[in-house]
Amino acid sequence: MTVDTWQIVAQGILGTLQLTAVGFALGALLGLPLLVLRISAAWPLRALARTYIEVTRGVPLIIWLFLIYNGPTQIDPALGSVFTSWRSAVLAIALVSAAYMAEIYRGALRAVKQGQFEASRALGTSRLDTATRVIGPQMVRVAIPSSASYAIGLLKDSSLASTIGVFEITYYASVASSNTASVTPFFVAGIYYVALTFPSAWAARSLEGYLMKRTA
Amino acid sequence: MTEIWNDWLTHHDQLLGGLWVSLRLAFMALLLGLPAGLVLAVGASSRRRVLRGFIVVVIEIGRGTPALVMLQVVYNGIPVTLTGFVCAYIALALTTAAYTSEIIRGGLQSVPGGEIEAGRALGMSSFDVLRDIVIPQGLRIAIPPLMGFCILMFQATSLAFIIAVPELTSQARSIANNTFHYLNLFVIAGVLYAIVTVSASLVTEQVEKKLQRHV
Repeated sequence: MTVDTWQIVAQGILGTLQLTAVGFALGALLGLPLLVLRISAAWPLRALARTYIEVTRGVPLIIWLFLIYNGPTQIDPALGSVFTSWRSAVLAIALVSAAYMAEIYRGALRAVKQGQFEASRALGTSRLDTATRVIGPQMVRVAIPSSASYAIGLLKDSSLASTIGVFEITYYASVASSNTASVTPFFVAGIYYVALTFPSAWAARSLEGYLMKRTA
Repeated sequence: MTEIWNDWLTHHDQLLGGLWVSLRLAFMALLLGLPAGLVLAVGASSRRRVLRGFIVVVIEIGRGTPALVMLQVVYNGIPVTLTGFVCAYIALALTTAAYTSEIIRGGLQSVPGGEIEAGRALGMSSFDVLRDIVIPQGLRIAIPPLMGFCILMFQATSLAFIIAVPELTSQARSIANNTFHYLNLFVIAGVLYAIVTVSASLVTEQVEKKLQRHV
């Protein structure tokens, strides 16, 4: 195990972090309108959101990656330059994360006591204020632990983007592995992933302990 | 739409064969991984600090390594030449063991401590308490999340294409590489995956409702 291998694979750490962060941020954002649809009073909207969530979560991420990266080239090969590896990976991760995050938000919403909503409305607070100032902040606290563990899972799932050529940890590991015909780069990659997830998991657990004290 | 249907008609034999391989892969990974997960769960709640520490490290490494990397490590790392199938079984079983151990541990911990003390007070050995009181009840609580995990594991079999196991993703990819019908084939593969996973999650929901009535 030479120093070289460590350096080669380390080139991908930034890529993995960027992909995870951008994909997760977009997913967390897109999850909000999806949540609104999912709990809407109109059943067609609800059914639409439910279908999106179930299908998105039911199909493996790798299929989404291939579908978005390779799919458009069947229609027009020129689309290959629009759906680059990086863009396709971010898009696929964002779409899948949106579905997972919407469900996490929904769980958090259910954990906030319904009476608070009614009390707030009875006090004459507008619907928007109730949502953003009373329910919202508490929802965020409840949602953080599961969002954090989802994000940590995503850090590992982002390894799949190597199959469509995104420059992240696993990508550099497979390049190094085929150049040197050894498995060491994958061990190194595994160590990097564990090193990245271990502190995040620990941080998530202590954040959870801190936040749970501050919810009604 | 008609184009997708035509591709399905042409290639359905190969794709269904791939789906069957995916299902078998998931089954074997779970068959090997779940008992190992139970052992790890019991070890992680052991009172001996050294043993517990060791097991927790093993679990964290197993959960921290992406399944894709695990597949590569097993496939390239074991000095004996094994088929892609066997490597996929081993790698996915290792991931299963690490993940399910946490789910099972959660179930075991939810068994009230008073029952364990009562069992010990009646003169049962700690092994008997574990076998006859903690595990049967703890496992029942862990069933719905374990079923959810099984669905995820079925999805994770899609990664085995990287070590040349002819499962659904790999079949769809090889057909697409020959015909350039990428969109059609990945849509078909996605639909096949969704049929299995969505119906499985509906079953899980029902089981969850049923079990809640008994707890």
